[in-house]
Amino acid sequence: MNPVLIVGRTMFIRMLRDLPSLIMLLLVPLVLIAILGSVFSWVPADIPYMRGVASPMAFFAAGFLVMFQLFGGGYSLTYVKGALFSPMRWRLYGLPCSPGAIVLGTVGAATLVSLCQGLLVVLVTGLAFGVDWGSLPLVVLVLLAVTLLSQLFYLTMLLALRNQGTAMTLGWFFAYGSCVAGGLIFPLPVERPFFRFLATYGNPYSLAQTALREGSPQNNPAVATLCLAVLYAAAALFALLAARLAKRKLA
Amino acid sequence: MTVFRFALRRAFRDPLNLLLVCALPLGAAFLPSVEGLGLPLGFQMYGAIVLFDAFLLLRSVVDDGVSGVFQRIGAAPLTPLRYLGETLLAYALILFVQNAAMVGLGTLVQGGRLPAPPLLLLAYTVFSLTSLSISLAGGALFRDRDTAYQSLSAFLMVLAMIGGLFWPLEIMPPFLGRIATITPCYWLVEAVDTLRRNGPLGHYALSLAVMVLFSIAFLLVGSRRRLV
Repeated sequence: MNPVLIVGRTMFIRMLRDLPSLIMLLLVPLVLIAILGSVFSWVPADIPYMRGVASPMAFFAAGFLVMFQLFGGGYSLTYVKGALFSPMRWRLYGLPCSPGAIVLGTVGAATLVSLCQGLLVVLVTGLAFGVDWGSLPLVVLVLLAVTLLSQLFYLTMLLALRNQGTAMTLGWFFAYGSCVAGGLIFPLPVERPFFRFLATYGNPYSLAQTALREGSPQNNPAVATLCLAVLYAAAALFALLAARLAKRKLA
Repeated sequence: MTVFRFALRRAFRDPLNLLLVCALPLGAAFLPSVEGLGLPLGFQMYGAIVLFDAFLLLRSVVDDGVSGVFQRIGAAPLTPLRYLGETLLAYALILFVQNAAMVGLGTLVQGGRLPAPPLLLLAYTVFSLTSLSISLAGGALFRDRDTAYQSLSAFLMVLAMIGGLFWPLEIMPPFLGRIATITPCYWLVEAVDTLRRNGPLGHYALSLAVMVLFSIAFLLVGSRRRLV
């Protein structure tokens, strides 16, 4: 069996047994969506703060789904750090498996776990809260793009800085910053062109939201395709960066 | 004040950390006003920034608890109370300087839209102490670093949401409004809102007093394990 697949399978099982992370990335978003969706459903949509949002439940479901996918990169960071930036690395170097295969297997497993968690959130919010997600293949493509970008961003930060604490802090800024700049937490002054761009295309959160919103045939699928292309291109860029850094730092 | 100096040096050792924790949040002072929010956008979200900054600074104390530094302090000619007190004082000073810079910048950029800058600075400073004590109490509950980080960041987010740091308290339903009053964030929002509405100073002082009481309670919880 290919070493990458062996590492991937082992890491996948380890990540599924990581209870605190499962609670953080699966239960917390579901609880937040349930509470905030029902709380804000009684607020009139025409007050300035609600930005004309017709269905608060759908707004918070899509928002928190993407937000927690952006946090999912913590999986890659924690497990690559545990394997290759700790005394464990010397034991792993003794195996007939290259450090590159370990990194690739870990990122693959982390992407799969994070994607499964996102799909569970989609399933539960669709069945229990009646959120209309539209086309499922589009949702899967958006989730895959966001989680891949997040995993590769966290990994690049770890490889560049070799310090888990600082890399994690940068990851949080990346995730929270995207959500704030995308208008999940506060309404942005979108009447100004700069903030309108920021809330539509300016960061991973906005790109994912625009792709989910515009993806249906009655809206603008071309815009959704463009947003997805930008997200995958950003993920490819971080993959190249991570590969270069890994070659230098894990050799 | 050896520990105080060491804590400051430790916080400033990583320039990236310094940039992320102290410098980057100051960019919020330049954000414009949004219809429906009482304060300029940056000041509306500044309470949440302080809450998370305190958590990022306090991570070193969580690390010390997990890595066994506290056991070594027990054998050193230094009381845990002094270690904790001087460390918290150092982090409170960093947050105070950041608050002063934020309010100073805000006064320059936003002008009259910022109510009573000295009193606003006092409210943010008291809230900084409360935020530090919340993170200290939260960190003391966990023995594993990753679990502590993940659980605390999720808890702080929920606290900020319920406490009214992310959206105006007026749009919350009454039952959530009542729950909000038992969070320290609510009292920061109340203090700032009193200043914005030019309300009675007694109301402002009461909000600050409640935040101080919260700080004392969380400090007692957070330092309990350290003192034995």
